[in-house]
Amino acid sequence: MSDNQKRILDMLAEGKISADEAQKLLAAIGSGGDEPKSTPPRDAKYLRVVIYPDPDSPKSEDVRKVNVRIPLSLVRAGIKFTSLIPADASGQINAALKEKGIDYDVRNLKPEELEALIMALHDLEVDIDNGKEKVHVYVE
Amino acid sequence: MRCPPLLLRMEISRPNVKGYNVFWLPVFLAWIVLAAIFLALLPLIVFVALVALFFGFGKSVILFVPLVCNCICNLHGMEINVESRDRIMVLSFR
Repeated sequence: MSDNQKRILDMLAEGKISADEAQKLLAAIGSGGDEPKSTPPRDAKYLRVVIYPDPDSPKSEDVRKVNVRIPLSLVRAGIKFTSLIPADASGQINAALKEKGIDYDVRNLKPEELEALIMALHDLEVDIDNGKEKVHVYVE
Repeated sequence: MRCPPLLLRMEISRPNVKGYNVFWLPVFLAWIVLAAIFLALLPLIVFVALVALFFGFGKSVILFVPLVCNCICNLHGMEINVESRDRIMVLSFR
């Protein structure tokens, strides 16, 4: 609790201000006061896919280490290709999504949803371990 | 629209060995050739798009070229790094 908030509560306890006034003052402090502001979204630029051998696997020496950095602008441009997916293929994709519990038509991907999808990638971090190699997907 | 990448940097080295070979490949030459092919085929593409409009997939034909151009222009910063037991190869679009 900040000093200002404590002072307002003290004034309320002493009866110098009413509960409504205290509420207004607290709201005013909250909107522009000493409280730390929420962190802005990270400025991620790349999707990184790293494949590396599992050190515990006996066949790890045969596995190549692959590190791919994909610009998010390219991902954004690539997603626009969904509008070119033929109807029968998109039907199969939609059916597969429905099987996983996602009721969505990939052909109806709108620009604002595309941006939301890119923003959601900022929190993405996928680790896949198949025993021979490990795959790490993240945004940086 | 952004400018497409002009050069492809290819770096080849060996693990635990000092020094590496760097090649700068002029990918802009590929874009020039592709643009020339596109211009040569433009009348045919327009004709196919018009015919395709009657069959319901004309939009796909019309949108395909700008979407491919958009992808090529956004290749800037793409980097592929492959490391095997005896060789390390790095490809990056500049």
